[in-house]
Parts: sequence; C-alpha cells; structure tokens
Amino acid sequence: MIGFNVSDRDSAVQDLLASCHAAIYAYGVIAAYLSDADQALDRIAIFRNKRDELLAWCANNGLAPIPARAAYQLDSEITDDATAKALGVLLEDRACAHWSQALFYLPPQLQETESKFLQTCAIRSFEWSGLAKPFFAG
Amino acid sequence: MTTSAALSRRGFLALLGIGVLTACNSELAISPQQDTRLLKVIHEKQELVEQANTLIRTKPKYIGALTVVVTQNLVQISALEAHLPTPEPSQSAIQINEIDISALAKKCLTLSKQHLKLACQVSDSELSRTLAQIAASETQHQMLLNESAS
Repeated sequence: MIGFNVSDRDSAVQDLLASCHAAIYAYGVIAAYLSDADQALDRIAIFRNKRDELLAWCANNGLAPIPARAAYQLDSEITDDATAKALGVLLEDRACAHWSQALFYLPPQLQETESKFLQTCAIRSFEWSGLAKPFFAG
Repeated sequence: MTTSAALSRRGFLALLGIGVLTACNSELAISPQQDTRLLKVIHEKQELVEQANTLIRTKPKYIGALTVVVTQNLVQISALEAHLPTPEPSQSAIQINEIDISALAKKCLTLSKQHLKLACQVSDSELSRTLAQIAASETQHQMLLNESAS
C-alpha cells in the first residue's frame, strides 16, 4: 500500500505519517462494508489524531510533511463484512511493522508516545481477528 | 505423563526447523552491554515459556491460548538468539514460580513495556525492530490470555 525508505529521524516520521494517511483511507472503505460501521469510524478517528500529532511535530521541527494521496491501492479486495475485517487486520499488522521499524530512529520525545501507539495497533489487530502473532509483516 | 501436553523448546525447534530462522542473521555487531540485556530478555521469555508449560499441565482448559503463547515465544526466542554473537548455551533447568493465567497475562504486558523501552535504547536498528515487534506481540498475548481466563 505504501513504502518509505526509513533510515533517519525525518524518514521515520514521514513513514508513520504516510501510514496514517493510508490507514485513514482504507478504514473509510472498510466502514462502507462493515455491518457495524462505527468500528471503522472509531479507528479512523484514532489514525486522524495520530496524523495530526505527527503533522504538529513536523510543523514544529521544520519538516515538510508528506501529503495524503487521492487514493491508495488496498492490500485485499473487500466484498463484505468478513473481508472488511480481514483488511482491518492486515492494516493494523502493517501499522505494527511500520511503528516497530520507526522507533529506533525517532527522537526520545516521540519514542514514548509511538511505543504506546504500537501497542494499540497490536490490540486493534487482535480485536479484529482474535489472533496473536509472533511478528508482523510490513 | 503430564509432560506430553507441554511443548519443549528443543522439541518445537526440531519440529519446525526454526534453525533456518536463526541462521540468517550473523553479521550484527552488538556491544557487550547490549548482549547482556538481550540475554536477560531471552531468559525472561524462557521463564515465561516454562510458566506457561506448567499451566498447560495443571490447567488444561487453557491449553489453546497457552500453546499459542508458548509457540510464539519460542519463535521469538529463536529470532533474538540470532542477534547474539555466539549461540546461547543450552538452557539449564529454570527455577520458576508457578503463577495463574491472569498473572501470566499481566507478565506479558510487563514484558511488552520493558521490551519497547529496550527497543528505544539499543544501538542496532534491526534488533530494535525485532524487540518492538516482539513487544507488540506480547500485548496480544496478554489479550489472548485474559480472554481465555474470562
């Protein structure tokens, strides 16, 4: 869905921002297919908040933030409630992978907040699937 | 025989050929301090595996969730050992305190927090990523065990 070569502080922040943009878009599609759209709308709000936090950090640190694309290629086809939930799992697992990669490069003031956000991604993945995983593919 | 229900580390590794995983990562430079901290993480996870195996024997009704936790922790231990400059010596008998499933769930969350903190401190980006992923997984283990206990 997205790809960013993470090698330093700025690219790590941009990668997380790009992940937020993609997640917000994907959850919008997921919401259209879920029997309970609120599940997806709540998660859109979570990623919007995270996006806004990262945008504020970019503004405070002179970094031009990567803009959202008009559309994103989804990782799997959505046709109903079950496939929408499956994409929700995939999306949160990818978020786990991106946040896990970024932590090393982030400044200390972001490491703490993003560590906690990583845990919430893992929780949301589990909430969608009921499954625990040893590692997460990015 | 109660031990048949539990997963031994050696048995599991032999079964799945996890050695392949550990053979992929030999060029990492790790400081002695980092090495010590990594060994501590491995030992903590080995202790958790032993506690989960004990629970499998004494509370078989939780076997589903506990087997997932044991299996995934063994995979994670193998991945961590791949970051050690020399192979970890064979595991000697670990003295464990028996704990119930709720305490085990709480321990998973405690380890998750510790490992996230360590992921932010280590000097190797790949080890940091591995630790952070393991910490995320440990959060899920806590949820799985709590769900199983309720």
